[in-house]
Amino acid sequence: MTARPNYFELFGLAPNDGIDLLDLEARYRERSRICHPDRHARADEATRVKNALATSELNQAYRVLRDPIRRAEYLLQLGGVALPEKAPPALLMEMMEQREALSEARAEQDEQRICVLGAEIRGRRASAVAAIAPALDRGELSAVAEKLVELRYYGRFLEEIEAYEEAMEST
Amino acid sequence: MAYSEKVIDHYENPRNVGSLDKNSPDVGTGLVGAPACGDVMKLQLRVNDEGVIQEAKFKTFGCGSAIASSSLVTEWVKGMTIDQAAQLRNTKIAEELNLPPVKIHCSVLAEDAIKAAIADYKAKRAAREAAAAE
Repeated sequence: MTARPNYFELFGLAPNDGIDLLDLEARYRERSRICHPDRHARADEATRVKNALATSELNQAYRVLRDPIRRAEYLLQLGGVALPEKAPPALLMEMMEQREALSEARAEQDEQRICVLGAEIRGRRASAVAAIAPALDRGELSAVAEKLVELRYYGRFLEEIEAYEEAMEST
Repeated sequence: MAYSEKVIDHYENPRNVGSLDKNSPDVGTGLVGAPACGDVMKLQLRVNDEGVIQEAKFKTFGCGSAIASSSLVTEWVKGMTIDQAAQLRNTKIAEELNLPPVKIHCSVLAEDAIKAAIADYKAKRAAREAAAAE
């Protein structure tokens, strides 16, 4: 069986290597030079198509690996670990409370409260992101999955905050 | 992906949005969420001594299909006994709202919410009966 190389292998890395962003960028630049369309402009069509595909796969791999959340999602996928089907009750309860508080604050146009709620969840998002790398290092994929679930909820919450902030800025 | 007219109707004019007192002995609360989407759904039932659902309220923070599914079930279960409501299947919700395959999980969430609310109510009633028997 000839499996397609995974995103790590494309960069000559192993999944459990930590990612150094500068090193990753250097590897990306080096590899994209090789398959860059400009280098193959005069090649036959099959070669050009092959290089275009390689370039787009390399770009996709780079986007995933340099983003800690997407990298963690990808590692779970490689490890065959799915996100849990149910969210933990404590998280749900908390997010319900926070969402209710946010919708009240929005109804009352209480800008300060909205700011505070946003800052709180941004702080939580940061600590969940920070917890991912060490859990990956320890190979604790289920702990990573839990953090990713939290991040989905924080992400949804912050989408609403950001939509509000954008609306405020444009008025 | 286009939402069906029924989804849009429930999304724009959701029925029975709100909360009941979760500490009240005749209220059952179900709180569920789909981690893949990051949505959260709260569904509450007020049940009388005959086991008939008098009132149903929901709050859902999620996509249009999740809101429509929960809005629809609060309409449906009012007047049902809790045993009838427990029989409600997500396939009926999905059918009524014409949910596309990628949104079926929203109807599953609504079914889970009803079941969770009924379980919560039953647990409260059992605890009350146990206390009364002592």
